[in-house]
Amino acid sequence: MTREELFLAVGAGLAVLGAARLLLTRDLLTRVLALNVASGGVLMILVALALRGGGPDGPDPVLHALVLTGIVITVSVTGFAIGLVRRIEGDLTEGGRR
Amino acid sequence: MSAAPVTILDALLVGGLLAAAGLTLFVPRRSTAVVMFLVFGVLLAIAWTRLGAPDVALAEAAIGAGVTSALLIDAVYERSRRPERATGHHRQVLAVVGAVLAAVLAVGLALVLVDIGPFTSPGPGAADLVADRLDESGVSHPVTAVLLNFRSYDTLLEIAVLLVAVLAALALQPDATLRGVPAPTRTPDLLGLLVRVLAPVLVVVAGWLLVAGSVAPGGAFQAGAVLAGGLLLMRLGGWPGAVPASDLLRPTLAVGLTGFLTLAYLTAALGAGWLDLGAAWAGEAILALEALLTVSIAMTLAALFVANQDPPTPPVGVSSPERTR
Amino acid sequence: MILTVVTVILAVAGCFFFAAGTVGLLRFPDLHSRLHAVTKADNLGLGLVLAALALQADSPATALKLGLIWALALLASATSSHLLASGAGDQGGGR
Repeated sequence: MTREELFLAVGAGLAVLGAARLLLTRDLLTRVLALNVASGGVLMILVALALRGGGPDGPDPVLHALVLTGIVITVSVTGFAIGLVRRIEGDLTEGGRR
Repeated sequence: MSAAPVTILDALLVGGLLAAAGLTLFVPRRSTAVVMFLVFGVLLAIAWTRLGAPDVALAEAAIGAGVTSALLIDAVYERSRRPERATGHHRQVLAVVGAVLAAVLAVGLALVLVDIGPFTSPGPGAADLVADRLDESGVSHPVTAVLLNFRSYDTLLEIAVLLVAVLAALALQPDATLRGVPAPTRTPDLLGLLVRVLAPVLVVVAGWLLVAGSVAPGGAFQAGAVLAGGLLLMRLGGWPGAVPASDLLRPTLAVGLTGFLTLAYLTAALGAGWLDLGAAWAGEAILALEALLTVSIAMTLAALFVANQDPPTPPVGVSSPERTR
Repeated sequence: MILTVVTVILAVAGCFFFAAGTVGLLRFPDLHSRLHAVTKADNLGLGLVLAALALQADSPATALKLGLIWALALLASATSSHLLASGAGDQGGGR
């Protein structure tokens, strides 16, 4: 087994683990975390494929650029999602709307 | 380049990643889950370097392990337990069915991915294409060339998504600014000292990452994330003006997308077409654009953090005491 | 040859201090003694590992950068553990 194959398999495992937890949990913060874990798995698949599809000068830069874009999008979505979670739970647990 | 064997380090790394992910998703205490996610982010950054992606590793270390963790830790500071909910019989059945389906899907996906087999050279990837035309891009680092020249449409839209996300987060605030978020009142002396030492270092590192992106791993995203860390540190360490509350905030958030669109219109009007950079001046245009993007990305990430800070905001229509204008 | 031996000794010593700090983090009873174990032992461990790496660095500039990393890590960990300890003190208790 090569390193790419190992990380491809682990990326698949992380993506499915995160996606399954995302669908099956009711806790909102866990959903945010699960989305981030799943995103890590997908990005790992892309980076491993970049290594496999690389040329003589190194891994495929197009996939690396896609992964960079993905990381930045994930953090912005996470930031907004946490804002929503805190607002929902603040309304629910702190004695109603203030 | 390919067919590197699996080493003990890889095996340990993969085991740590799976363990950290499992703990993140299944421990009942939220603060433990968030710290485990922080560990997961650091291990991911190491994994990216093992996979030959230093650009991604830098971004992961600064954004994934840095900014995301700051957001999450601040979110669990007050409520450390996951709200317990009754688990009925059908939810247990659902959990078991879901676990089985997920396991089947994971194994199937892994088998398919591994079975694709080594690509033949020249591969179906675009690595050779990028290498052939790197001279025309204005920069010598292939990832930067892809991000800001060959596929700059992707980056343009990404910056737009970032702006939409931060505007949405601001829209949760009473008056769509950060005025309702109280600045930290009491700053420990030691933190002030740390900020005085670290803030200039972070600004220099961000500037270096920005400039180095033309020839080496680095660029606007990494520089923006490091600068965001510096801005947050300054805000928490006694300089609340580091993240402006309203007047300067929105222009700073928008300057990246504005610059990108201006460049697009200029190339359409004067040059060969939308975002089609001429080889003679592409390097300068990319660096100027990246400088604007760095400012916008840094302020976006910092504003996302500040907008989510406790205490929870009062609902729309209630003016907060900080409003003096 | 001697350089390699010294490098290995420094790296192993660094790993030992990291392990000791981690054991302290897991076994010590309250926040303050845990912080004490982690900050002291881990900073020494990091310093030793970085010294080992600096011996193998291909240029003095790289070695200097490693030293700079250690200085910044010392500063950050001292500040964060101070904040943790005083924050816990504010809430009236070690745990």
